[in-house]
Order: sequence, then structure tokens, then C-alpha cells
Amino acid sequence: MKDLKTEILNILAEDSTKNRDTVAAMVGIDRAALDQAIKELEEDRIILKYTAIIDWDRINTEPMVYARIDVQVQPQREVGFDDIARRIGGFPEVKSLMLVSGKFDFALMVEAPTMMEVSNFVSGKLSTIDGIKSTWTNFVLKKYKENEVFYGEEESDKRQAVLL
Amino acid sequence: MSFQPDHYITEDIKAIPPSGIRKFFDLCANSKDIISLGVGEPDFVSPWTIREACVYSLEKGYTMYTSNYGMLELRQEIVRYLYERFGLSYDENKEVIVTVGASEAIDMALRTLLNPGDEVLIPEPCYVSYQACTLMSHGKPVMIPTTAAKEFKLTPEDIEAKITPKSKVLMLSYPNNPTGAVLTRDELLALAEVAKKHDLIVISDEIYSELTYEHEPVSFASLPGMKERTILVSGLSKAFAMTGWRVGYIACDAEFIQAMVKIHQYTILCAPIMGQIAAIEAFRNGIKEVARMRTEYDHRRRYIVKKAKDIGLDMVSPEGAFYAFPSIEKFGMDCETFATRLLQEKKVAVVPGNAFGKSGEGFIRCSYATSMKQIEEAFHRIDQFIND
Ligand SMILES: Cc1ncc(COP(=O)(O)O)c(C=O)c1O
Repeated sequence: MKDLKTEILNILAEDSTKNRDTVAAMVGIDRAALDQAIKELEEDRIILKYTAIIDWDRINTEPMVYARIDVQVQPQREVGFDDIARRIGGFPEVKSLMLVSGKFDFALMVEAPTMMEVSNFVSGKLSTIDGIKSTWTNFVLKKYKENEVFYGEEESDKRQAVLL
Repeated sequence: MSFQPDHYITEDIKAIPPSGIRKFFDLCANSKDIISLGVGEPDFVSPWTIREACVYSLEKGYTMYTSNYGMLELRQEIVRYLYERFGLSYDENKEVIVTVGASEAIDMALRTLLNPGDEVLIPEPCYVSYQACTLMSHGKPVMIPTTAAKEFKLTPEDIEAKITPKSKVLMLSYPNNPTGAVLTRDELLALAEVAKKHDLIVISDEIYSELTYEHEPVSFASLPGMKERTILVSGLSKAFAMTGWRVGYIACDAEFIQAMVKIHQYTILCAPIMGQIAAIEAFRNGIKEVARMRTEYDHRRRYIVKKAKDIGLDMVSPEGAFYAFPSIEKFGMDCETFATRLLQEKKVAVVPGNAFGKSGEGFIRCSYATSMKQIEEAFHRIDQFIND
């Protein structure tokens, strides 16, 4: 079997609500050993947070607006990508932030209640950060898949109930 | 006299016992909202890359017959796979046929090898087709019971005890359906000695060989001197979650292939091209998906082993396939009664062990080809059923 901690992480990444006794049995260790391993993973910030993937559009009466924003940076002396990233990422509108190769430097996902608010964020906050050269805003029209899960209905089990 | 279809059906076919648990199957089929641990096929859908390759091939117009032996590209992939995974070397031009599942492969191998009255040694409990196909080939099935006490492993002594001058074929099926038993290389070597001593041809059904959890799988044909006397039967159904595509294969000596291809070409012509193209993609790009599924089965297996112990269900720890085979002897019911009551009272479906032969009485087969959530709930209910 793979490294024990990786094994545990794979299971939790799939479903972090899984009963801990079950997880312990799945990897073949006792409950106390599992709890200890998870505690260490949390303390080391390998596990950062437990969360849920939610289809917000089906529950919000006023759906959120999402945009992917590509950002190009003007390299500056003494200011690395990490510093700029920290400044961009500080805004709560920024849901995720990555440094990418290619034409742009950063790719971020932004979320706000209205298109206007996204625009205001881009023009008022993002593009005024020192070192940011230009931004491209792509509004999300429809989400299909997130974290390995398709939005919409679950696939049904199409097999016969018993089969030798 | 009225028309009686029965008059026209051959004695051979009548002699094949109908599935003894038809009644139980019908009961399952008519039950709603059950949790099923009764399914002998993966709960995963075939990996997308495989499905996509097939869709593309249809768009491109691949809708024709292939060579009787199967597409050369696929045979090449099979040969490469068998070499890389098991250290076997076969010639894709002479020693491989692509079949309609391992099912056709088993039937064809037996039909090719058996003269009327020839005996086939079949370890039991086992997959249901071996006995039936032997009978259809006018052979005589000689069942060899294996027991929980010996972890359902076949031993040389078990075989010796059943050898007669008519013994011709030994069926091997490890990892085993329904017991989950796997034989180690040493254990297989001991069987190889017996095969040599009594000049047996071995049909080795290795359809579950990708699903072993404690040891790397060993192919019987890879043992010294065994390649020539082994008909290796396998397929993509279990490893790649491709049951409905109907693709399997046989690898063995060229002369056997020459004989078998006669049956294959006149009865089947060729395996469906859609399945063959999907299988090529499976071997090329699906192997990592096999590993992912294996890990998931292993998690479930470990859970079941622990849970069975916790709730007092006696069970040999399964090491392969996706089945657990606990004993229900101590609950004072035969396996069909147990399974029927479990279904009716707790809405959990398992397969009574006697569906896999007489020696399966006293056991139930629990398939873990179902989600962890379902398995948790099923074992919770089994716990209530046996302990409340
Ligand atoms: C041991 C064994 N052999 C062969 C088969 C048939 O496989 P296929 O789908 O390749 O015909 C099965 C299916 O359950 C099986 O369990």
C-alpha cells in the first residue's frame, strides 16, 4: 500500500465527512492511530480546511457572479511574484489564485454578487496594485464540473441487483 | 398430443442443472430499495478515455468485421501487456485470439479439449460456467471441494485424490470468484508439479488477476514448463470495468489456437469491433485507472475484514477479486434461508454460497463492487440481522 498518510489524504479528499472508524478500517489502522495522523496533517497545514462542494446556483435566489481573471505583471526590482500574489489574494473576492505559465502570470477565480461588483473590484482594486500591467476578465456563463464532480444529477447504478 | 418443446431439447442440455437459486434471483429483482452486495461486476463505469475512443471510432465508421483472431493492434497490445505485467511472451500472430469475454474463451477451450467422458477437475466453490461448459462439451466435471479451513486454496493432495485415467483438464481460477482466494507463486508451483505428473492441460481463468491486494499476481503460464500446457483465459471485464463490452482473450500454444479458431470463426466470426477498439484504448491509456479502482476495492476489502470481525462474522480474509465469502454456519440456517431472510428483513442482497457449488453451502458471497457508503450501511444491517 502507498504511504499511509497519502492514503488517508486520498480518502478524505474524496469525502472528508467519512466516518473516522471507517477510514481507519479502510487503511488498516486503529482509530487512535488515524486520529493522530490526521491531527499531524492538520497541524502541518497539509490539510488546510474541510469544506463542501455546493451547487449554489440552485439554492441562491440571486446567483453569484463568477469570473476567471488573467493578470499580467510588470516584473519589478525587489518585488517577486509571491509578494504580488499575497496582495491580490488578500481580497475576499478572490476565491483562488495561481501563478501560471504562458501569456499571463496569474489566473484567479473571483466571486461577487453582481457583475458590477466584479467590475469594480477589477478596476478599483486589482488593476491599481503596483506592478500589475493588465487584466482580462472572463465571466463564467455556466459551470459544468468542479473538483472532479459534475454539477447536476448523480449517475444511477444501472447494474442488475444480483449477478454471479 | 400437444406440442411439447421438451421433446426436442437434447438430453445434454437437459442434464445441465438450472441455476438452483433462480427463485432467490427473482426475489431480488422484484425487491425495491435494496442494498446489493450481490453484483459480480465492477460498480465503476468504464473509464471515460475508453468510452470516448469507442465513440470516436463509430464516428469514423469502424463498424465492420475484424480478423477472426481479433484486430492485430489489439493482439499486439495484449501481448505487450502480458509481457510487461506477467513476464509472458506470446506471438500475436499465432498464439492469441480475442474472444467475446472470458466466457467464450472458457467454452471454446473446453470444446477444443474434451472428448466425451474426459474429466475436468474443477475446484469448488467456483464461477458457474465451468461445470456447465464442461457438460455442454460432453465432458465430465469432477468437482474438488476447497474449504475455509485451508483458505479455499487448492492443494496438490486435493487434486491427487480425484485423479483418474480420464482426467484431462484442470480448471484454475485464482483470484477466485466467489471466495477471493489467491494462490502464491509457491502454491502454484506445487500445482504445476501435479499437472506435469498427470499430464493435465490447465485452463487458467485469470480474469481477476489485476485485482490482488497482498501480493503481485502470478500467471500460471509463467511458471517453468507451464506455458505449453496452459490455456490462459482472461479479459477486460473486471480489471477495466468493461463487462458490457464483451472482450476477452485466450493466449496459448499455436496449435491449440489453430483448433480453437475453427470454433470461433464458425460460431462467433469475431468479437465486436467496438469492444476491440475500446480494449486497445484500455491497454494503452487505461492502466492507471485500473490502479485507481484497485486501491478503492482494497479500501473496501480492508473495511469488510475489520467489520466482519467486529460483528462476529467468521471469514477467511479475501486477497483478490472483489468478493468476501463469510461463513454463516453458526447462525443455524442454510445459506439460501439466510440470504432470503436478510433480503426480506433487512433489504440487503447477498448471493447464497451454494450458487457456486455444493461446497459453498454455509457461506454467502458479499461483493464489494459497490460504494463504501452502501457497504457501511449493508454491514450495519447485517450486524442487526445476526446480533439482534
Ligand atoms: C471467474 C470468472 N470468469 C469469467 C467471468 C466472465 O467474464 P467475461 O465478462 O469476460 O465473460 C466471470 C464473470 O463474472 C468470472 O467471475
